[in-house]
Amino acid sequence: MSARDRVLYRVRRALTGRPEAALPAVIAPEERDPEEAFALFRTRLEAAGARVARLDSLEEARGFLAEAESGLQSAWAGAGVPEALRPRLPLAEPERARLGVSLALAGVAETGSVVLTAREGRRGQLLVPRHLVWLFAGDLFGSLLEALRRLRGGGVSALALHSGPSKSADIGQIMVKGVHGPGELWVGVLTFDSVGLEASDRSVNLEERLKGLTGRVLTTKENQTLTVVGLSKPGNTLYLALANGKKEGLPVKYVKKAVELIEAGISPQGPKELGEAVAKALGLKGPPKAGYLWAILHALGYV
Amino acid sequence: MALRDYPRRAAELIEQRPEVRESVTRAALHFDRNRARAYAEAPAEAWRTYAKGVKDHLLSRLADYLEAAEARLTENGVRVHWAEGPEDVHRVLGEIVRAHGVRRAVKAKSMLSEELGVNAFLEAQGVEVYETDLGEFIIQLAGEPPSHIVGPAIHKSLAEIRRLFAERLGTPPDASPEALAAAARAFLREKFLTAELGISGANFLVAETGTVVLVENEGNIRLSTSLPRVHVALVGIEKLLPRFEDLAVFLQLLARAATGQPIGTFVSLIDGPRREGETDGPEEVHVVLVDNGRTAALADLEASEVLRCIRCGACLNACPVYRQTGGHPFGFVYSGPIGEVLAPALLGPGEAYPLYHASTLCGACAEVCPVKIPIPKLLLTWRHRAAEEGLLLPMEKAMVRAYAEAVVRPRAYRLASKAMRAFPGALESERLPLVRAWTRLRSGLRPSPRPFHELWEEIKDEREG
Amino acid sequence: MRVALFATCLVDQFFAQAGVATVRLLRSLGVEVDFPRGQTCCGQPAFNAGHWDEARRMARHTMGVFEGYDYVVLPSGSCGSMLRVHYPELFVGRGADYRRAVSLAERTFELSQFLVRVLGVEKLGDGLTGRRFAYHHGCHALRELGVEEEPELLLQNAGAELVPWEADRECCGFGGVFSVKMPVVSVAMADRKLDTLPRQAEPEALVSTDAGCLLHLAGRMKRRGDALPVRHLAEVLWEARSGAS
Repeated sequence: MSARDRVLYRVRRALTGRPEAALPAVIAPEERDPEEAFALFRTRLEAAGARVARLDSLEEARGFLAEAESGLQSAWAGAGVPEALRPRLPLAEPERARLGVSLALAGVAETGSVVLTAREGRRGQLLVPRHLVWLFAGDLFGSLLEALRRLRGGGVSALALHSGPSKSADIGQIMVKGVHGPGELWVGVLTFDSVGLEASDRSVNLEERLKGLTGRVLTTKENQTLTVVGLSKPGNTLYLALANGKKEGLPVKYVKKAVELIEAGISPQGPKELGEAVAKALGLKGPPKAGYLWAILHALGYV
Repeated sequence: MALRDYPRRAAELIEQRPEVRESVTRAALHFDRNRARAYAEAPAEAWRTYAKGVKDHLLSRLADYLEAAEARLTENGVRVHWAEGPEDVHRVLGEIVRAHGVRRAVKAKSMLSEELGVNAFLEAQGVEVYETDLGEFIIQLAGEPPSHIVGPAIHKSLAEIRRLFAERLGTPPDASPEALAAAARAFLREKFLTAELGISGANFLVAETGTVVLVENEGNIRLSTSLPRVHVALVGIEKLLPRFEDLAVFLQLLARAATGQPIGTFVSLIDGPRREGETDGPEEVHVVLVDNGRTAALADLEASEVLRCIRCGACLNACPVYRQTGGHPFGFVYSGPIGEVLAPALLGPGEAYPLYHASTLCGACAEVCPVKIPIPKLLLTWRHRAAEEGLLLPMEKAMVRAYAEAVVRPRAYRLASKAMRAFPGALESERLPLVRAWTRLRSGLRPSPRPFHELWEEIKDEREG
Repeated sequence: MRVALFATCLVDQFFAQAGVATVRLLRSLGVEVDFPRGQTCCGQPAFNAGHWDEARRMARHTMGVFEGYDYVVLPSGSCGSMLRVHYPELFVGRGADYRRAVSLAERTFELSQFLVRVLGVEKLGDGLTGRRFAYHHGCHALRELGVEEEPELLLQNAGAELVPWEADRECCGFGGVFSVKMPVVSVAMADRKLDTLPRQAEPEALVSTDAGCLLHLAGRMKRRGDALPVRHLAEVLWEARSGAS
């Protein structure tokens, strides 16, 4: 018997005759409107020693960036940072850069966190003394639960929540910053979308997340199971394998439109309602494979 | 270090090194006050009930969840290993060391690795091992085990750390805490950049998604799990959570219980090795699912409640017994209240004796536990089992029997009461060991001139006014 | 209302006047008090040390002694919690004994809790006007019985001032057998309590509803050369009522 078999055997024997304890329902978090969410986000991060700014225009954002750059010689930027928000300093490897600039996938008000993806490069989030993180205001969630729902299955090796500068009180209970990770965290919350930063960037995110669903077995609301085969090369179609062996292609623009609508505030009660909304918005004649669409949005955490 | 020696070691520490008691008390009370404030700001009671329920459910179906986690981890490209005890873990680590030519390893804080003697094993293989959590680094330099689950060096004063760093890292004798931390950062930065292997524990492992979750404040865990080519996570089998969504409460509850923060400064959600298109991150991720006594605890319905523990250290901070000494005298990886009930569950009551007697049953621990482990009740259970198994001080059983005989016979009780007053110095005598245990540090007991049951005879017919 | 006083062995032997005060206090509130002669010790030391068979013998004895009373009142939180919380646990699954244990548990009250919750008395008198005390919350009273506001309310409503004490809810280190099994740790805990006592506020005495804590703290204070007296809550409450001091 392998160690695996022995451990599992012992677990099963230990539990013989033991009734299953019920799994509690997930606790619904407190609801927060965007203003409340931003206020809490700022309070939490500032309490943890971070700097937070609400930036209403590209000029303001560039001003924030310039302030972060002042006095420094080199910077690093994550792959997802929009061109207009990349540092002007000479670029350097994270080991030497004094400033790191990242784009957050999401923010969490409840905990005062920004969510970073390994796709941007982890070293640049960790080795620099000062870390500036951009967050689109639309990506700020009121609660950790909502953010986790949206982030699961992101298709990257690791996500990280950063909720302040690196710190430790291990030396005589005295708080010291910048122990291993960045000693400064700057968070710029971008409320503008006029430069088209948001739309382009978020569609990238959505595509990545659809890729991340590859191999997942999903269930429709009618209890039909389907497997996500993957995204077509140009990224226009998401292929699904049905239980009866048939293959289906779901146009990605349906998914994008559905996400857009939901983010704009509609809250469809089921596949039919969602399908109708998407069909109307895109000017389609028939309902757009609403059952599959629903399952995909469910897996992404939108419904 | 035999656990049996706890009373002697605790006494020596208190009497010979009063500065330890001072450091530990200050730090633990600071943690505890922050915890109290953080609980008050959140729906702590609802979260604790939920967290207990989730862990109880998980444990009741643990085999299924372990298999689910293994399947998801494997799909994520993680190599899964299983270990019954230290030997299996050492074998896995040995293979990785050989396969990758590992000469240097960086370690993120892991209590499980302490259980498994990982550092000593790796060093015997010729691997340099660096603890990277600042507190762990301090005690590694000092050659000591951790004194606290969350703050391993809380027993050390600033002055002591200054001396240690001056000697080992060449810092000035009056260096500020910032300068000391900077010295540690510079020393360890080079190790992070050159180590081939990063070793971590795990705060949670999500069965549904195969996500390894790690919580910290310094960034050393993210570095240990991001920079080296290989990352090995040692995960106790009780660390699973059923659903990804469960993290929403557990991450917040853990941080609030441990330090009073809304969430740990850095939370890593690791889904496997570096993927296509990523510029860094480990090429290999290994997860070792470790039993090391946990299935024995699981089989014991009462004792299995300890397996809910999420290692926040809140019970240590709340415990007035722990606060007198810190963790060292306990002689076990886990100290304080949770150590007193984990030790017998993992090692058996014989080996753990008398840790479960190191409590006044004051109940402060149960009041703060984020997963509602009834520690005082478990302490009583282990004491009972130890008594049944005859693990006692000499003469104890005989004395308890005699005491019970007197109690159920009121005439005998009253006779004893008279006898005590006939020999007024008896309770101040230095010759009786039990009495001496009282009088060495306290003045002797003096009974009332007459017991109440005699006074009653005089007042029983008294009327008001 | 038939009320039995369970003096508890520690009060019987070491704080006999607290027993007298309890009787007088209850009578002054119109309660008829009986003192069943068969009572001895509740068995807590044996229970806490793991000797449950002996503890059950003693518990059965005590359950027999207090059969038939409407209430059992103890000038003690620790023994009160033994009867209220642990007797039922000791007899789980043991039929008639379990039912007797539950019945006794329901009728058992620590003195201050009995006064406030059962009798509905919140003011005993003005007898403590201008006096200052330090109040120690015994752990079992506080955490197992939820006795927290009652003693403070009764003392303050009688005019007493309670000095602010950082460690007033921390364990004093007595812990029954713990005090002799781990004496050095036990005494270090007492020292922490005593070192945080605000002496500049000049309390006249350290008060608690638990005799064990008081014996331990008094023993340590005396050894440290500290003259602050300890008083049992029952005696101070009787002074609140009677005005005597």
